[in-house]
Amino acid sequence: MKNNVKIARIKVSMKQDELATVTGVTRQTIGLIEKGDYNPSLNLCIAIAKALDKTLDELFWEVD
Amino acid sequence: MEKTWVANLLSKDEYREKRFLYFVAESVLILSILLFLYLIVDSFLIDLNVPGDVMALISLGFLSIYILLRSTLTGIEYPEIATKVRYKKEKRSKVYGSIRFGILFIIVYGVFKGIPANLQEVVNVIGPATLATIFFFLLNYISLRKSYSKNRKLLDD
Repeated sequence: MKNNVKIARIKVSMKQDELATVTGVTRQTIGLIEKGDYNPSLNLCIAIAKALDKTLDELFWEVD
Repeated sequence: MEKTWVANLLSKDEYREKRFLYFVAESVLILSILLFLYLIVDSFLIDLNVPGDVMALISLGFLSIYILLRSTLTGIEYPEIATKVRYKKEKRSKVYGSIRFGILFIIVYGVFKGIPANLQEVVNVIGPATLATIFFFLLNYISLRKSYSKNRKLLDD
């Protein structure tokens, strides 16, 4: 699933392992989500959105 | 995952948890098909007559080895190893871990079989211990290598 997690994370100068710690997953999982190789659960999507101060739409809604 | 006791045995990371559950489901499905085929062959074609304990051992062995190999080859066991420094450190710790495993193997073997009295008995202990140590190390090394190469591809640019 395409998403904007990586862009949003870089904008707030957060590292992959920092986001992983905040959301309670491993760095590998964050990397896989950013690459679009793993579809996170709704709970994890919400945790990521809160950590990056974004809405679910901004991170996970495909527009084009 | 909630409302099941098995959740306590699984990883807290949802990706690893999901992959592990897939591997368990795959192994159970394959084992079910094999047992079904065995039942057909044993009932209608040839009387295989495999003792119950052997069948239980084979089934348990298949489940464990399948899940272990799938986890090892998928590279999910070391999710935090992404840099060369951490990889080398972990590799070193695997070497020491394997040596400790070999020593423990010899001790446990000695406890059950007694202290070797002659050269032949020493060889009988050292041989399996060496093989088990090499196997243990290789399994860990392959898993580490797979995880490292997977994690490198997922690193920040």
